[in-house]
Formats: sequence, C-alpha cells, structure tokens
Amino acid sequence: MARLADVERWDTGQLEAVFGRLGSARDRLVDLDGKLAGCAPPEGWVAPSAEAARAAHGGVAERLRRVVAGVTACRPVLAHTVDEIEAVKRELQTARTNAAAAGFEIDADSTISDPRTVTLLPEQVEQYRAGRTQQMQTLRTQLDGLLARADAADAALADILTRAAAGQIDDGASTNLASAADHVLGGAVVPDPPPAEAGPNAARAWWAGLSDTQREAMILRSPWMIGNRDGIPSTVRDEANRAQLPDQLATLDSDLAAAKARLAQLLAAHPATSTEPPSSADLAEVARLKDRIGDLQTRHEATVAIQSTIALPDRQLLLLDVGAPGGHAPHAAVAVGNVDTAKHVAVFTPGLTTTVAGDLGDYTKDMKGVRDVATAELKKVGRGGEEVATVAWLGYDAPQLDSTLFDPDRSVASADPAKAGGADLARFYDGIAASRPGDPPHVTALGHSYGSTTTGYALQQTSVPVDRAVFFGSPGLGTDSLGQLHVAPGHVEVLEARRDVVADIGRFGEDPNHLPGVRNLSSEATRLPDGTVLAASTGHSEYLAPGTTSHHNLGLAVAGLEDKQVVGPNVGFGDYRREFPGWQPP
Amino acid sequence: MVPITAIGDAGRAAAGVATDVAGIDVAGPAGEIAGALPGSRSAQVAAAAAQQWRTEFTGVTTAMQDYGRGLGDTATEYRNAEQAQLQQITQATAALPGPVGLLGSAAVGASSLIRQALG
Repeated sequence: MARLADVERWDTGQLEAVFGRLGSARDRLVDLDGKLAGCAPPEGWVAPSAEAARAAHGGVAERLRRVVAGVTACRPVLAHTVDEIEAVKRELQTARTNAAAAGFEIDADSTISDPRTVTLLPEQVEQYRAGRTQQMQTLRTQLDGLLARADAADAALADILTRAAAGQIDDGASTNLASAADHVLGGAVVPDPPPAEAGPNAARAWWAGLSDTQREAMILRSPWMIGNRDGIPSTVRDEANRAQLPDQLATLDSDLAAAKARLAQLLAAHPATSTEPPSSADLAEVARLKDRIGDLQTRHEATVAIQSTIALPDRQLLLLDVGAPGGHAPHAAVAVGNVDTAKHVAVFTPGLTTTVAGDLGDYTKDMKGVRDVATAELKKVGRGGEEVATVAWLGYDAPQLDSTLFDPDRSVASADPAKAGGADLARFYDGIAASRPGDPPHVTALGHSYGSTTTGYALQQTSVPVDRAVFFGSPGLGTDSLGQLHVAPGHVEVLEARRDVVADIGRFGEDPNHLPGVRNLSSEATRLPDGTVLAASTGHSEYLAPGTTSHHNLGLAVAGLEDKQVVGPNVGFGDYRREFPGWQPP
Repeated sequence: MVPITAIGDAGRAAAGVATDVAGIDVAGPAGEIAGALPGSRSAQVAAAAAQQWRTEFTGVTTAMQDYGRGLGDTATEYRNAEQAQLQQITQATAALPGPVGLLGSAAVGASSLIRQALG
C-alpha cells in the first residue's frame, strides 16, 4: 500500500498535464489516418512485391492502431485517477485537521500517536483511555480506507499503463486509427449537449455528468461540439479545438486546390487569343470562383495564423470558428496561461480592422505582456503563487475599413457589430465563471477602441458580474450609466492617451472618462516609487506598448492590485471641447 | 494496370508518415507519471512503459521508412525494366527493312512518350 506521505505528495497537476499531452499525441496519430491510407500500395497492383508491400503496410498500420488503442485506454483511467487522488487528498487533509484538533499525531506512514497528556482522577482514566482508543480506531479506519482508495486508483493506472505499452489493448476489427480509438471506448453512448441557448451553466452540468469514458468519446468523436462551448473547462476546449485544426487545414487546402484548378480550366478554355467570347455562364462561374478563392484564402490564412499562435508554449485555443464561405469572418480566442486554474483571468477584446489572420498573433503577444506585468507585480507583493491567464478574444466580426463601411450592419459607425459581438462575449465571460464552480477566478474585462464598445454591450448582458473592466481608447460603452454594466462597484476603469481622438468622440454613449463613478487611470509618463520610469502612450494605439504607464496599469488591473495603479485625469483636447459654448453631447 | 509513379508516390508518402510518427511523443508523458506519483505502483511501471513505447515508435518509424524505401526501389526497378524493354523493341524494330522499320520506330517512340505522360 502507498505511504501516506507519498499520497500527500502525489501531483495531480502533473498528471493532468500528462493527460493532455497523451491526448495531443493520440489526436496527432489519429490525424495520420488519411496519410496512412495514402501510402498504401496502389490498388490494382498485382505482383509478388505488391503482396509483400501490402503485408508490410498492414503490419505497420496494425502497430499504430495498437498504440492508438493503448493511449486511448489510458486517458479515462488517468482522468479517474486524478479525480480519486484529489478526493483522497481533500479527505486526508480533513482527517489530519480533525486529528490535530483532537490531539492526535499522524506520521508519514500513517501511524497514529496520542501525545496528549491530561491530568485525570483515577476513576476517569479507564473511560478516557477507552474514548481515546475508540477515536484512534475511527481515525485508523478512515485513513486505511483513504489509502486503500488511493491504492486502487494507482493499481488501475499501473495496470492500464502496463497493458497499453505492451500493445495488449485490443483495437477490435478496426480498419483505421480513428476506429481503433473508438473501439476502446466500447461504443460509449454520450447524451447530446444541451442547446447553446441553454447557456454555460447547462453546458457545465452536462459535462460534469459525463463519465471519463464518455468525455473521451466526446473529444474523439465530436470535438466541434465542445471546443467552442462556453462552460466547458478550458483544457477540454483547447484539446477539442486543436484536434480539429489539421482536418480543417486539409479541407481548406483541398477546396482551394479544386477551386483554383477549375478556374484554370475555365481560363484555359478561353485564351486571350480566342475569337469566340466566353458564355455568360462561364463568366458567372469565373466570378463565383474568384470570390470563393478569395474567401477560402482568408480562412486558410486565419487557420495558419491560429496554428502558429498556439504553437507557442502555454497557449489554450478556446474558440475556433474559421466560418464557412459567405458566412461570418474567422473567429478565434487564445489564452496565455491556463484559464481553468488561474487565480486572475483577463479577456481582451480588440476593435476596428481586427482580423484573426492579421492580428491574433500580435494580440496574443500583447496579452502575454500584460500577463507578465500582472505576474511580476503579484510577486512583488508576495503573491507570486497566484497564476494569471490572459485571453485575446477575436470572437466577433470587428468592423473593417472596406466596402462594409457602408453596410449599416457591419460599419464601424454602427453599434450593431458591437451588440452582436457583445452577446457572444457575454457568454464567454459567463462560461469562465460557469466552468469553475466553487473556485471563481478574479475576472477582468479589457476592451480597446470599438472592442471597448463590444465589451460594454457584453457587460450589460452577463449573468455573472466580472470583477473589473478597463476600457481604453473607447468611443463609448453603449450606455451612459455604469449601473448598467455588470461589474463589481467602483471597478470600471478608463484609459485615455493624449491625442487619442477616438477616445473623445463619444459615438456610442457618453465619453467614458466623464461617466460618473468611473476610475480614470493615467497613460502619462510616470516615475514609480521604486524609481522605474514609465513612458507615456500617445494616440490611439499605444496602450499595450510595454514600458508605458497604460500597460503597467492594465497589468495591475488584471492582478487586482488597484492600490498600485497610477491614476490620472485623462483630460485631452476633446474633453476641453465641452467647455465651448453650445457644446452638446453626441 | 498501375502507373509506376503511383508506387513511387506511395513510397514518398510513407516516408512522410515515418517523419510524422517520429515527431509524436507518447513515451515522454508516460514517463512523467513516475514523477507525479512517487512511491506508487504506477511510478514503478511508468518508466518501463515509456521505454516500451519509445521502442515501439522507433520500430514503427523504421518499418515505415523501410516500407517506403521498398516501394521507391520497386518503382525504380519497374522503370528500368520498362526502359530496357523499350530499348530492345526499338533495336528490333530498327532492324526491320525500310519503311516498316521507320514506322515501327515512330510507333515505339510515340508509345514511350504516351507512357511517360501517363506516368
């Protein structure tokens, strides 16, 4: 049986990391299905060497199916082991606390001793001893039960590891890697997730109600059903979304190649030297194909950008929706850090002209910078153990400076894109809270430019208030009353840099730095009490520049260290306009 | 009939699969279980399991490389044999008298070009 001291040292966080890495490895193996079929000896090849080649290919494929089956079999057992160990450790802690309160000591081998000395009357001694013995026996039974439980979980994991690595997990009559994995899950039937309208709490409850095998089956068979579901744990969403990327890229590659080939065929049929004009049907098809190629290229570029962004360490892909031709723009959200375990979580929403292909990498890097400041500042105040995660949320159709400028549904002059995006963003915030019942993180909403308007609309719709919101370079929050925002009282903050005209136009409500109750943070050059000199931010696009006061303030907001923030009046030329005779709010 | 290039293509694809398999790490995380659960039975078996998986991945990678190389060699062998046959036919046809020989050579040349085009 495992020693008590060992069980107390068992590291479930490390086991969870193993769980994730085995999942990624398994998903990458399953993704080889297409390539494995593509390297099979060609059909119709008849020769002795062909038979030998088929046997060789079949042999390697079977070995890979066994590996996939083995890894797939390990994962639910690992998940169960994590749950069991966490439960055992919690109960051990309680047992230790109760034992200490009663004056007992428990050593590393779970031996219980009773060092307490009491002065008793002779007639009390026997009863006292009997009581103490009874208490010790109860404690002994409890400890033995817990250690046996830990032992059982450990034994199950040891057994599956041994059999899996020895290739003893049966992959059934599977003909490919995906079906080998599915076979191991024994045809687990998974109840459908609740409809999206049911909200993040319903999604969390559904996920919590699944067995480890059902969860594994869900990730394997239907990752698209959970990758973007708010309320599901972020590690699960990340794995499900990553699992879809290779297939999505392959589909886009093949669709692009097919469209380009068809276009080339049509153009070749009507060379410039031809005297016969192309038919109107051909001309229409050429136009359609050019649109389709442009659209596919946009989605392809977005997918490649997502892939390279999450290739960096410590990233979670929490939203993957590159859309369909003719549909919305590609959407994505990437976290730096682990949203499931972070004590502080921030969600940043950018604004005008943002695209996944063009900006996801940079904004994720910006979020890493803000996270670094938050982490460093927490460390300075002796709270270095508090994890921070920051999310770049590009989950809405941000307005663009193109033909959509004149489309009232999509123009930057309209609040409609912000309202539509705000609804999704609100669900994303609520999803973070829902995915961590009993362990809510400190959540900060960050919004820049038009993204601050989207954030403003989102915060009017959330079910669970966020702890803090920082709006920077904001043209308005979609409301003139902070009371409409579901943010902890006194924690709405605004940054306005010098010469940032956008921050003064008040296009979507009153200029935020004039809203009653708002906390104005400085974006001017500053010298901190420790001598650090921070630079000013100027214009509309320097708030996230490292080494600036605004960047520093954002990091402190995320860490919840408002006492260390640098406050300032945020008054610029646009604000002085108010003093002109006849000035009216927009 | 199977184009020779299809066999060569399958060989190259197999080399790609071998590279992909070599880049996938199951042994590493399996081995980390030992560090996560000190003093456990799982820790005792984790190192051995990791080694077995490492060996299996090396074996699969090598087998896939060998398989791909085998297909490539077969494709080359077929191509050489075909070339040799064509050469024999060309020589035999050229030995035929006058216009018959010329027509034959042209036919063999055309056939060779078509085969090359089809792969």
